[in-house]
Amino acid sequence: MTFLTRLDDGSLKEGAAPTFALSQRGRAGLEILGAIQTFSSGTLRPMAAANFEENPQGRMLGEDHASATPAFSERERIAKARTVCEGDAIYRLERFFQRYVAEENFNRGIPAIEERRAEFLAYDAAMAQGSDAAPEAGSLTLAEDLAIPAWFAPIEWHLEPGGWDGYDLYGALFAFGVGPYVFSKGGYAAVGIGDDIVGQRLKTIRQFPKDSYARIYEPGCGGVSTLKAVHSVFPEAELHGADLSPLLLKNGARMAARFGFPVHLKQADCATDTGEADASFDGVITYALHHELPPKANRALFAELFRIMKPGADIVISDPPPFRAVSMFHAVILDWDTLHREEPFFSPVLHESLDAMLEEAGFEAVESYAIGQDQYPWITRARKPESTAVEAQA
Amino acid sequence: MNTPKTDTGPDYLGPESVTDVARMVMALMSEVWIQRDRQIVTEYLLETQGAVTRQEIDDFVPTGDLAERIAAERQRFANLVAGAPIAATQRSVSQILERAGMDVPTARATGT
Repeated sequence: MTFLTRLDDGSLKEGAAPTFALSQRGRAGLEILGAIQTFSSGTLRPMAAANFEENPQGRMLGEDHASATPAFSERERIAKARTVCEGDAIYRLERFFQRYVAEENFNRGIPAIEERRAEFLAYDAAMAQGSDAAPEAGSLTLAEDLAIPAWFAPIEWHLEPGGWDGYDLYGALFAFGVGPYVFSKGGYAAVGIGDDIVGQRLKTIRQFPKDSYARIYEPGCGGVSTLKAVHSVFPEAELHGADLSPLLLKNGARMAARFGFPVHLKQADCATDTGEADASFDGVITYALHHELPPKANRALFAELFRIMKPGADIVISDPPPFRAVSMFHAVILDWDTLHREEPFFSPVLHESLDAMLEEAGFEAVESYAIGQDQYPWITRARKPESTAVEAQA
Repeated sequence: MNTPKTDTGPDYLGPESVTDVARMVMALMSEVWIQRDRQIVTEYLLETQGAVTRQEIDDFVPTGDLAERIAAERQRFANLVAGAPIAATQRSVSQILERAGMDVPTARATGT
C-alpha cells in the first residue's frame, strides 16, 4: 500500500489548476536524500556485495543458498550471512544511509509540506473544482465501526510517524516530496537503483493474460496508484478497491476524481470480509501488499479473494521476491527491512511461498517470475478454475 | 556521571555514540546542501532577472538545463561527503575523478 507518489504526469491537464511546489528549503532538503540514497545503493551496495562474495564464509553461504540440497535452513543461512555482512564497514555504512534516508523522509518531509499547508489546500481545492470525473461516477464508503486488526493498528509502516493515518498531509508529502525527490531514484527496500516505480506498476498490470476485463478488484489499494495504472491498461474495466486506512482511501478518491477515472473505494478488512458478492470480479490485482500482512492473514485474504472472483478470473500479484529467488547477499538486504524500516511481516512472508498459498486457496495455473532487476517486481499470477470441486460435485 | 578519561580528555559520548555523531554529520550535510542549492538558485535568478526577492527564491523550482546542472552538482556533493570513508582506500585516479563527478580521461592520462 502507498499514497500516490507522482502527480506531475501527462494525464493532468495542462493549465487546469495552479501549480504547487515545496519551498526551496523543502525541495533541496529532500533532493539531497535522494542523492544520498543513490550513492548508498548505487556505489556502496555493489562494493558490499563484492566484499561478501570475496569472503570465504560468504561464498560458502551463497553456494548453499543456491543449492537444491542446502546444509542450512533459509533462516539459518540468512542469520549467518548477516553476520558476515555486519563484519564489513562498507555494508554498515550503506545500511546506515538507508536507515537515515528512511527516517529523514519524514523528519524533513513533514516540515517541508507543513510550511506549505495553506498553499497546498488552495491547490487541492482548485484541482477538485477542475476534475473531470462526475461525482456519481465513483464512490467512497468508510466504515467507522470497522474492527482494525490487532496486527495493523500499532505499526508505523516504513518509519511513518503515526502509521498510514498519522498525519493529514501524508498524501501531499508523498505526491510532492518523497515521491518525486527520493522514491523516484529507486534503491530502497526491494526497489532497484534507478527503477521507475510508476513504470513497474504498468508493467505489472500487463501481466494480466486477457485483453479485456469488465470488473477488477484491488485489496489494499491505498491511494489508487495501482488502480490508476489499471485504468490506463484496461480503460473499460470497472474498478473497485479496499483498504484499512481511511486517509489513504480519502486521498485515493480525490486522486481518482482528479485524474478523471471512476473508482469504487471501500474501507474493509479484506482478509476477513471484503463485503463484495460471491463470484463478482473478473480480475484481482495486488501490489506491494502481501509483505505487509502476517502469513495467516494472507491465507485468509486469498480465500476471500477466491470467493469474490468469477470462475476463470485472473489474479496478478506484485510483491518483493521470496528469499529463495534472490542471491544470498540480496536476501540479507531484504531481511534488513523487517527490523529497520518497520516492516514486521517482510521476512515472515518472504520465507513463505505465495504460490503455495494460492494453491491452498484453490487457484490453478499458479506461476511466479521476475520482471525487473534484483528479481523485482516479482510477479505471481493464477486463475480461479472454471469449475470448483464443490460445484463439480453438485 | 562517571566520565571515562582518554588520552585527549574526558570521553563524554562513548564509542557507542558514533552513529549519533554520523547522524549529526548527515544533518549538517543536508543543511549545507540546502544553502548550496539556494546559492545556485539565487545566482541563476540574478543572472536572468537582474534582481531577486526572498519570496522568489523560496518559490523557485528549477527545470530543464538548470535542474540537470543542480542534480549533477548535488550528486557530486553527496558522493564526496557520504563517500568520504571510502576515499581513504578507493584512491585510484579514476576513482577520485568519478567521485568528483568528472569524466575519466584515457588510460594513458590516468597511468592505468
